[in-house]
Amino acid sequence: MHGIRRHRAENGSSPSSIRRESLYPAELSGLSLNRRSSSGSLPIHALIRLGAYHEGMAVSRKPLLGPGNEGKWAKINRADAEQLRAFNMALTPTQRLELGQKLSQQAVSLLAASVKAGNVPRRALWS
Amino acid sequence: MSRDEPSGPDLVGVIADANSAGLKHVVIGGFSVIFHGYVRATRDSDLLVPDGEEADETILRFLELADGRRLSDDKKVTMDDIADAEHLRVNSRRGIIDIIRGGSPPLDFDTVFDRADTTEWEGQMVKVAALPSVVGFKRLARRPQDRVDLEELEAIHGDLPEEPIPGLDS
Repeated sequence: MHGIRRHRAENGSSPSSIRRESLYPAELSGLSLNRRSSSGSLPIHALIRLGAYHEGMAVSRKPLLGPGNEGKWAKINRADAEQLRAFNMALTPTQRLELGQKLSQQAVSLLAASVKAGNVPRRALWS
Repeated sequence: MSRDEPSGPDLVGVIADANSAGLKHVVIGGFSVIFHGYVRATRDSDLLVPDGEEADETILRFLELADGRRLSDDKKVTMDDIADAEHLRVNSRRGIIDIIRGGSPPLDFDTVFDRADTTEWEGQMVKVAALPSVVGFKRLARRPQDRVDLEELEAIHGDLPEEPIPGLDS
């Protein structure tokens, strides 16, 4: 069973510091070992055992950057793309040209730096 | 800006030089896609230009103003080079510029020019290929980037205007 759900089942409560772990890892990182959680309901070492807390970060049972998350990624990518399109269409055509020009100049500048550093063959600049 | 220091395309400068040279042109390629809503980086400025001696002279003037040299061999472009060329790719103080002649209708210069969208940008008038022309060029070129561009434009505009392209649809 997932750490949070198991904790709820065992304790019959859902301390806010645990419930929101994935959204607010910074809140959890303020806690330290050998202290009790801010709600006072469960010692930190117990949270670590449950997989609900890791020093400095929240631990997910199924990391997003892992296999089996194609559906989640498709949803995230779709939302990103829609957001980007909405942003672009909110600009006037000349604002888009301005942004496109700036973006292109930054891209070439970064590529030139990479060529200079020897990461990319020089022909990449002119291909 | 020196030609030896790659800085990305300066479309504002390209248009300024083209206007100063009296070169009739329409912005096509990556910047036309950007204009129609898919903002992405592009390596060059693409200009569609007319055919003919008069146009050739203005192209030469434009290349002198932009300090443009043929990208393949850094050669200073001459009238002979221009007269023979359907397509010129140059490196310039305005970045890389692709100069392309009009094709067969509806992608000929006059049609693309007449239906182009005109807008004021940085104090100068800019003519950018209209969406049907952009779609036509992209369908004809069929590079991977063209396919992505068409998908993105379709996501923005819905069904894209497709016109019969000689050699492609007939």
